[in-house]
Amino acid sequence: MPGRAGPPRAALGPGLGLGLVLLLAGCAHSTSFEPNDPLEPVNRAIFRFNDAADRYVLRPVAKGYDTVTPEIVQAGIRNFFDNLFSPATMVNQYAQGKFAAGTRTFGRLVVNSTLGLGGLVDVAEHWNLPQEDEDFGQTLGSWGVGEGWYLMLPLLGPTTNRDLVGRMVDAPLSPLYYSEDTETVWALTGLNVIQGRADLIGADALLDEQGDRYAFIRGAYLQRRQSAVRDGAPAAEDDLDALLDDL
Amino acid sequence: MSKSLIAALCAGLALSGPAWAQSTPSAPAPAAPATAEPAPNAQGPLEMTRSVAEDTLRDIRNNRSTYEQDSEALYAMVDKRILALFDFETMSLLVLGPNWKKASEEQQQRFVSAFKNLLVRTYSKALLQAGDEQINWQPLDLPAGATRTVVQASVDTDGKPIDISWRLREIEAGWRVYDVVVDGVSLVTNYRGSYNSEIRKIGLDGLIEKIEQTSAKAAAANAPSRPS
Repeated sequence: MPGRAGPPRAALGPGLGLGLVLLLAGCAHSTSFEPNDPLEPVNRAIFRFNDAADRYVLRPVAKGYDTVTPEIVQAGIRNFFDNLFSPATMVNQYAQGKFAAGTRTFGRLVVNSTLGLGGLVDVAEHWNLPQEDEDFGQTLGSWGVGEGWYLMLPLLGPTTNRDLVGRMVDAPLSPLYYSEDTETVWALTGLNVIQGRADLIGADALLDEQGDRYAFIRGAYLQRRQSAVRDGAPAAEDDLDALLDDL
Repeated sequence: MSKSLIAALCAGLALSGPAWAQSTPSAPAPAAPATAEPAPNAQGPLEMTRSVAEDTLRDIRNNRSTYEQDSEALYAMVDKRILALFDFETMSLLVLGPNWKKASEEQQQRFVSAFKNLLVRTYSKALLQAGDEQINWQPLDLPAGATRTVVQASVDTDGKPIDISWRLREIEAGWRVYDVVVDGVSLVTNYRGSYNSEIRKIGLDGLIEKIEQTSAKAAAANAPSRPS
């Protein structure tokens, strides 16, 4: 996932403080069609910036990368970064009381880091240890913390107060965080971003069809995170059903 | 996070993966619901969703190179096939929410047709990108007398499988889809959010015109691929 490796350590101190302030600033629950987006004008400006950066820099680079990099190499790179995030997934599974799942993820981490050649090959998948998706944003959500405001970060993309705090907590759980070799960390972070963007090239046509891409991405981000907190279970109260009942 | 989100959206829109067309249906769709009297030619919701998806993907697979060059032919084919499955009027009503009731009948009709065209185009493009992922359909447990249900499937991709749900309800014509949920993202809810914010800014007529213009522009710029 893009940016999952997190920013390098130096950025974290003030960032964490800011994140906690933002977290306190807004914990209201919002529906995905009436999002809690009080910073919308600022967010939209950042979105335009991100969009330009994407159009002129990231997308062309990712396209070139995608053309010259065989799929099997790309799969290895995806696996490698997923494996780096496994410790965070595991900790969050335990934090949510999902002990069996946490142990499965531990098994994945061990198997893929060794037999899977440092994470390049997802051996564990064939051993019935599928990749699972947990992060501290979801953990906070499962503890009942609201998502707060929708935020658009420069270059890092959409998040919420809750997910921003989540990212900061997850960052030290990545092995990269402890590397002294700054150059390698940045190179890997860059590679992760480019791979993530390359995986999205197929979606460009879909997004280009949207009249208001900012609102479309906001809705999709919020819906998907809410669903992830529920581990994919349908929402308890569904607005569409109520509308249909009205017919 | 947005990576898998949008990949999922595409995969879901594409009713993904021709692969399952090759696999023999291990769990055949339950025949028409065992309720009192199924309407004539009424198919069960799972059967219905699955057969439309299967036929569309088979068509794409057999004629991929034609469709890659001739978008209009692709749109016409998708339009014809998914019209049989989707209830665009209900989708439009849900997307517009309270704005639907405030709209005149003429506005409603224009919106339904503009929105339908948009979805057909979007679907078609996503369909062309469908790889050979495996789709696994879940058996459907439909209680007697139910008029709404959810058909669920999961698509095997590089990473985690992606869950797709089709929400259907029974109308006179039979079972029809009114929403698709891909990895937790409801298509209707998403358009509802983005259209609501547009309606506040430019009004319903403005929104309809904008959707129509996007379609017209896409049709004009058709022959080669999208200008980037």
